[in-house]
Amino acid sequence: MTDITFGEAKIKAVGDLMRDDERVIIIGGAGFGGLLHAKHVKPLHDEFEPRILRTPIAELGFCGMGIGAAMAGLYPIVTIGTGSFAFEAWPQIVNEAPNISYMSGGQVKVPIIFHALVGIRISGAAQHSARPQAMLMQAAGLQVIAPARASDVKGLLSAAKDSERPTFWIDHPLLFEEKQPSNGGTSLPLGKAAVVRKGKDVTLVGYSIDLVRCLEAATQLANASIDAEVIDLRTLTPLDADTICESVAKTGRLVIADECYPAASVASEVASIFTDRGFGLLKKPARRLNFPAVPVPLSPPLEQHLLPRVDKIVAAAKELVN
Amino acid sequence: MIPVLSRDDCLQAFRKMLLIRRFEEACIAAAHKGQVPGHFHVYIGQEATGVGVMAVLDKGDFVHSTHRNHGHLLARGADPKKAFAEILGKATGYAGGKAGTLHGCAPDLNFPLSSGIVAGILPISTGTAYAFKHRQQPNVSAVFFGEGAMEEGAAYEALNLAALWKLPVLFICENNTAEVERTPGQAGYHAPNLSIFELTDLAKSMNIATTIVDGSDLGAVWNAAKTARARAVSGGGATFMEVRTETWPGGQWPTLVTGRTDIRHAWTREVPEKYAHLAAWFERNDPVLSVAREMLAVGIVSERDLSTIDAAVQDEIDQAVKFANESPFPDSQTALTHVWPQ
Ligand SMILES: Cc1ncc(C[n+]2csc(CCOP(=O)(O)OP(=O)(O)O)c2C)c(N)n1
Repeated sequence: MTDITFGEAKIKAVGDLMRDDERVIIIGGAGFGGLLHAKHVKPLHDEFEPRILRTPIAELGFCGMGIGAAMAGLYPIVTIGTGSFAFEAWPQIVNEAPNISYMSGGQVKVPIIFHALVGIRISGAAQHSARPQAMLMQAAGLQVIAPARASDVKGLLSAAKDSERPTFWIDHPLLFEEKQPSNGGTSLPLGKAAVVRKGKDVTLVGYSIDLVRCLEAATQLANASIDAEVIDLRTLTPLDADTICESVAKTGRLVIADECYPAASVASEVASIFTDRGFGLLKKPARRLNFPAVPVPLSPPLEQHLLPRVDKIVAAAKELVN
Repeated sequence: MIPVLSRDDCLQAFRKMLLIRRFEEACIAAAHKGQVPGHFHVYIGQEATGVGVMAVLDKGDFVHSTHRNHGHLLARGADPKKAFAEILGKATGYAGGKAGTLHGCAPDLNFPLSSGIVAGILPISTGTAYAFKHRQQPNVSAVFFGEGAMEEGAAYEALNLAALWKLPVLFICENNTAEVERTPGQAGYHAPNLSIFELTDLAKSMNIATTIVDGSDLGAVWNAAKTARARAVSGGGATFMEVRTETWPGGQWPTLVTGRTDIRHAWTREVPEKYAHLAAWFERNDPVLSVAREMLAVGIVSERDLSTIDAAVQDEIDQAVKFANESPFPDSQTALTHVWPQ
């Protein structure tokens, strides 16, 4: 089997959804890649041009338009571009879409996927590096998925579509070139984390680009004779506490890598599992590696200083184990 | 339309335009060496706009800009050394390396942080203008933005606020796609997707004064801005100025496709062989060459004067580049400072 990049896999997955169901349309300007990755997206444009609506720079308008199109029987995948631009559409994403099923007593559905390239893209500075996922977890009625591996992207997208729930797809600009042996295919359960690497000494939890960092950290830890288990959350809402608890029951040690700011973050949500149902499983305090509560600076040494880098994950794991 | 300006005004303005051009050329050169962190946008082809507007502004006025702010900063009088250092992410930059290219700022010049969010700056400009109005202070806020901003709802809201309360705002819409045929819904990046036919139509419908100016005509920009500023300080409210320039062909991933500007083109009018396919740029669309030609035509300067100015400007930019290159990157601990006012 030949390797496939995450970028190829996701474009293929979106294409499959479109091939399988003519209701699927794409709304959004730059598409799934932005200018830098236009080459990945081109095959999609070539095949489905009439079903791709290239929009003005009007995130608020076209996200709302997606919601309406979903209500009226289409299945829109709305590509917002850079994650920070989701804030331009915030009223539609967090204050319209997630409320509609519930407030209509389950009668009105909004089957839609919002997609954005979220996170620290390196030198994007404060207004092009947002990680809105933790905030999105505060929108009851919004599902949040974060495929990080070529083998998962099709399965998670299909599941999100089948669920008919409004879904936000947290994608990352640095995932494009990540390689994997397979592009998967079968629909995956939502709310089921994956144990991506088995280990017994320490549990490393990541998702999206932080999963890649955790895997690299695990390789380095192996050289130091530390056997790390690595978990990919895959979906943030719903969040899979069982898999994390099972792992920590074995290792007793937990490191969570998360580009979000520390307060009310994905990492803090994972750590909070151990204040109730996972209470007593930890042998050492959990270590949360977030991006400190600082707007993202441009200058490379400043940005590097703040990132949840691989060496920080390695150091935290070593501290816990030794 | 040079004759509306005095010789001194003209020379100063031209010098600034050339300073911006040389600065952007240096920026592109640095980027090709991998020294510029992040995606950046240059002001080549739009120099007469920033310089013409800034020339009529008062020190106390506010200036607001976008992702394409390098030219506005320099036109406002920013120090090219600190501006270049900021773009390279160095400690000696205006914001100590935190802001970079997208968020140019020079607060000492009433030039607060630029916004990298399309249209994000327009509502803010109504606020600085409101403060002037509230204090009955005879100042204005000038806000620069691309025509793409008109696609965002924020632009509509800002125009409405300014119109409602007759705020002293100069909305300067830099339409750098003047050559693009305006077919609603048939455009992409760098070409507006607007249902209004003229960019000024929306402002007109709100009873905001409007004007359309040729962005290669320094005198026209200057006059229009002067009228707009006078209107604003006398209680007449905002003006929406559309300044039209043709798209500089090297723009999207800044590349010097037109070569380093050779000031002698102003008088030789010889378009080098390898740029023959871009002849229109050299003959009509380059504001730096156009203004140089006009000054020569009315006899304000000689060819020799122009070469002398160019040498001095190039020297100033060389110094700025040297300063920025020799400056250190910020200490990593400064990553944690200034989240809160200190
Ligand atoms: C809210 C938002 N959406 C998208 C972008 C990405 N973006 C950056 S510049 C740009 C085009 C802007 O065009 P225009 O306003 O005409 O300015 P120009 O670059 O032509 O000067 C876009 C879409 C952004 N920065 N902000």
